[in-house]
Amino acid sequence: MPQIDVHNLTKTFKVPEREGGVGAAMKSLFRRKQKEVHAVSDVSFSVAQGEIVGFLGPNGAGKTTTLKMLSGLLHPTSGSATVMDQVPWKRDATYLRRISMLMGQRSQLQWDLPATDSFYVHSAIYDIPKDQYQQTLDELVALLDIGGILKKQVRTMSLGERMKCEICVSLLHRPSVLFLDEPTIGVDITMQSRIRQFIGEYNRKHGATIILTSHYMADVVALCKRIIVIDHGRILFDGQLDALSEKLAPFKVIKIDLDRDVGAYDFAALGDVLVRESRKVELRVPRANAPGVAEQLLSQLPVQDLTIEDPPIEHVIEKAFGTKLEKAVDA
Amino acid sequence: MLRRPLKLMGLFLKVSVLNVAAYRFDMLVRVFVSLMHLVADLGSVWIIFHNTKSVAGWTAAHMMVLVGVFRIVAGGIRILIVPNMRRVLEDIMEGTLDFVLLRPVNAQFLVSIREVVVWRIVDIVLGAAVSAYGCYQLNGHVPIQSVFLFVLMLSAGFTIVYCFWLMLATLCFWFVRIQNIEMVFWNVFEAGRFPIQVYPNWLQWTLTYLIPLAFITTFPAMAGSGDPTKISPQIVLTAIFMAVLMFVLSSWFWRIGLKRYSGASA
Repeated sequence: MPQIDVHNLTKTFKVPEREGGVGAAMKSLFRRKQKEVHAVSDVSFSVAQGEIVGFLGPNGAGKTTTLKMLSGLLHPTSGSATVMDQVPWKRDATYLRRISMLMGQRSQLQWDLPATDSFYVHSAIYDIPKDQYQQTLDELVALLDIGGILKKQVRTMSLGERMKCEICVSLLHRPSVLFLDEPTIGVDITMQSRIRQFIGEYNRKHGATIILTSHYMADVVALCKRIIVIDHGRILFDGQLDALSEKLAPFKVIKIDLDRDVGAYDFAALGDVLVRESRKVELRVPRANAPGVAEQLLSQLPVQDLTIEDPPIEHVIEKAFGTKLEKAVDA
Repeated sequence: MLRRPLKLMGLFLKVSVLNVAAYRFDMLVRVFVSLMHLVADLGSVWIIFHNTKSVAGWTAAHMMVLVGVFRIVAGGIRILIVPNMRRVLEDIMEGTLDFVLLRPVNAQFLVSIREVVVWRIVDIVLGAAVSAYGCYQLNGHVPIQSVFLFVLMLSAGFTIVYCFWLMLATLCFWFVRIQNIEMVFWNVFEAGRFPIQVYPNWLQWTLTYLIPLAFITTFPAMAGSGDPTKISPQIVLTAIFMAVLMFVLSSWFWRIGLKRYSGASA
């Protein structure tokens, strides 16, 4: 029995719509045009206990809407879902006690008070026994390394510090299922990798099931073996991350630095030339040819340095599904 | 069964005290302003009864009880109801109501207790003192049964105001921006300064059954006057009935509204 089981989940929003300008605004006072937005259409998947699944897709793809339905915040228009054998949107207290949803863009901490006070309020709302609370808190504080900032007013924290506290507060009741919506948004690279490490550790230690959405491919690559690609509310791909890049990006990128300019050497015969400078060249070659090409380059040219890399996953998805991922990356 | 709700209320009270502690001077100023308001209220009563012995059957001492009630209720509204409802409106608009809905606690309960404007308790203390003094002037002492009846009627009145506000806030699920409705409320509430008996019949009826303002100030004041003949069991029962009815209705309406809630960013 999967821990999260979703069948044909669909959510359609009705949003008011009008043209720009005064005339249209006056008209809309009396008659509102409504437009249907299919945020999520006919989505089905299941997740086993202890699995970490990454949701990928550009903004407005339906990732957050799906998470919101699974955490009971939204009623679906149609379809069904069970999480730990319960229907999320019934919002039963026993269900809510066992899940957590973290929204990277919103804060659930008390702005004017030190983080400890927010933690305490949370523990009271979830009715966490005192000794268990203390134990969990100690553990989380050590893992997240936030011992030094607990007494700091939340409004004076840096974004990274605040995010760690947000993560801490959402794990205080030891949820078995975690929905993480952009948990690393806005924080710097080192902090991103620490948060990632921590999420992985929590998953291993408590066997928690995690669904994660992110704009940063590195998050997904580091944490999720399985990914679900969503766009326009539909699932485009559901499977192993390796399979995705294997199947859809059968290329390697070879980068070389040269001792000197090699003039008219015909790189194009070896593969697609991505970069061609006097002493720096990047080639995209079919995966199978990569070793051969590398060998040829090394034997024929004064190579100073050579690397063979997978293409960035943004390109993988863009190539595979024709979605412009820059939208997602910079928004 | 009641232990947990009470514990949570205590908790939010504590958090509010912590918040207030950060702004001590501001609080002193506010207490002073509150005192001035009460003096102004009493001043207007004094001016009226300087010219006449009674207004629509109400003597100066009766009116003092009403002035006290008005302060108590206004204070109560500002301690709990208005700050919490303002926050709900904000939460609905900005989508932060998500955090309330994620908690394993009844959402209506949680949105109603999160904010406590502690220092407004001054209003309740002052109002109670003025009401008690009015009652003392009427009877020569403060009879215990009238205190009991007074508290009962005040609780009913307060429940009615709360439900009314909850319904107003719930409208936000449909109309999104309705902050101005607070002004409308306070303007209508002003009518509660005077006993409803001073108004023409049709308005009395309106203020009793359509906008049940009478249950919020006039009837509690009648109960607190210490004269049991002033308030009939019928009024007491109607007040309780109204409170229960409003509570059921507003909770139902709130749940309908919640179903509509879709969060600001989907």
